[in-house]
Amino acid sequence: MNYLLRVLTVAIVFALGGCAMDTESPNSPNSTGKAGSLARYAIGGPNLNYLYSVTSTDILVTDITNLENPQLVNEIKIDEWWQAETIFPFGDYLFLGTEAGMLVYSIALDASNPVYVSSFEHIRGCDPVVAQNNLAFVTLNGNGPCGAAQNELHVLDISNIEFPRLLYTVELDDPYGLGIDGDLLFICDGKSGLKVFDASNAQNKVELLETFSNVQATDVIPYNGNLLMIGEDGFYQYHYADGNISLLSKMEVAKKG
Amino acid sequence: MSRENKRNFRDGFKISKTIQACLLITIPAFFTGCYQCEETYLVKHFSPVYMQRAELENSIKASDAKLIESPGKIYAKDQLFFIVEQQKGIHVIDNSNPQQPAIIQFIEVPGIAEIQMKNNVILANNAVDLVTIDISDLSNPKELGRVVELFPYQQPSSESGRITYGSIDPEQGYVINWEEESREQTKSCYE
Repeated sequence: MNYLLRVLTVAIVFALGGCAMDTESPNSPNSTGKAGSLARYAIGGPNLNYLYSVTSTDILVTDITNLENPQLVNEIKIDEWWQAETIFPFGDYLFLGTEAGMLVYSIALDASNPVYVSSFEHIRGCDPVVAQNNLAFVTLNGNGPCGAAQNELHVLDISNIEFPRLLYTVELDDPYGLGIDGDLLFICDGKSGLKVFDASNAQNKVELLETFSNVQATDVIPYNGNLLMIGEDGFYQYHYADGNISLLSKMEVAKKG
Repeated sequence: MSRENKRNFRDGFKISKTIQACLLITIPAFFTGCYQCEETYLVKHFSPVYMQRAELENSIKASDAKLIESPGKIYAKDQLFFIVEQQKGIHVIDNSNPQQPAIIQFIEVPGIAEIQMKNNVILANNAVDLVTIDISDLSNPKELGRVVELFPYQQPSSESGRITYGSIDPEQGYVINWEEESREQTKSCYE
C-alpha cells in the first residue's frame, strides 16, 4: 500500500511538474535555465536532449544527449523571406520571432524534428515573442534596420494554435525584449525604459502600471519573482513577486573612453 | 517709332561674334561639372578580426572578473546569472543575493553571441563553432565538445551607407570580432 502511495505521489508530482520544457522536475537528472526573449538558442525535448538554434534561414537541431559529443541531427529550412531572429520554447512548441512575423513549430511527435504548425504575419520589424497560457505577446520594432513597421505590442490568441489571431495592439516607442510572469508583462521599450503592464485581463487589454524611464532597457528575464534586466547602461534587478515593483540592485556598465 | 530709333534699338541687342563664341563654350561648362560640389562625411567602418582554427580550438579560458562593456544576451540558472560580452566571452555573476550581485568570473569565448545551459554545462558559439563548456569548477572551465562550423557566417550588410562592413574572407581564418574605425568618405553632392 505504501509503495502504491509513493508511486502515485511521484506520478502526480510529475504531472504537475510541467511540460516538455521543464526547467527542473523532481526526478529528472537534467536541468536548464532561462534565456532572454532575444535568444537564438533553446533547449528542449525529453531529457532536454536537443539544442534548437535559429539562424536567419534554419532551425538547427543538435543532439546534446552527450555533451562531450554534440551532433547536428536536423536542419529545418525556413524561407529566407521570414528572416528568423529569436526562439521561445513553450511546452511542445517552439515560437520563432522573425522579421515578417511569428512562426510556430511543434516538437510533440518527434523532438528532433520540429514541424511547422502556423504563422502570424505582420509588417516588417524585429520581433521577439513570449507566450503564456493561451496568449502570445510580440513586440515589433520599426526603427533602424529592422523594417518599416510601427513600434508596438501585438497580443495574439493562440488557444487554437493552428490559427493565431490578433486580439489588439499597444503603441510603444522603441521596443526590444519582453517577459511575462503571471499577471505582469514586462516590456523593454529601449530609450523609453522598462514598462510594466497589468496582464490579469490580457485577453482583452493590458494596462500600463509603471514605467522606469531612467534606464535604457534591452531584454529581461522574469526569474523566481525577480526581474533581471539588461540595458546599455547596466544590469538591473527588480523584485515583483508581491505585486509591487521595486529596484533591488544595479550593476553598471563601464563607461567607454 | 522713327526709323532711326528702330535701328538703334535693334543695334543695341546685337552681340558681337566674339562674345557669342565665348558664351557657346562657357554655358555648357556649367553643366559638365567644371563647377564641382562635394561633401565629406564620416562613415563607421567595421573590419573583420580573424582567428586561426588551431587558436580557436584553444581559445576558451577563465580570466579575471572584469567590467561589462558591451552587454549582449543574458541567461539565468539557479544562483548564477550570465551576461555575454559581445564577441569576447561570458561574465559570470553570483546572484545568490539579488541585492548584491557580484561578477565572479569571466570566461573568454572569442566570437560569442549566444548562450544556453544544460546542467553545469554552458552551450555557446565560439565564432562559427558550437562549444560545450563544463563549469562545475568555475575557475577552471573545461571545453567538453565542439561542432565545427555549425553556424554559417552572417555577413552584416552595409545598407545604410553610414555604417559599413568589410567582406569576410574565409581564407584569413574565422571572424571573432569586428574592429571599428571612422573613415572619411567624399561624394559628389549630386549623388
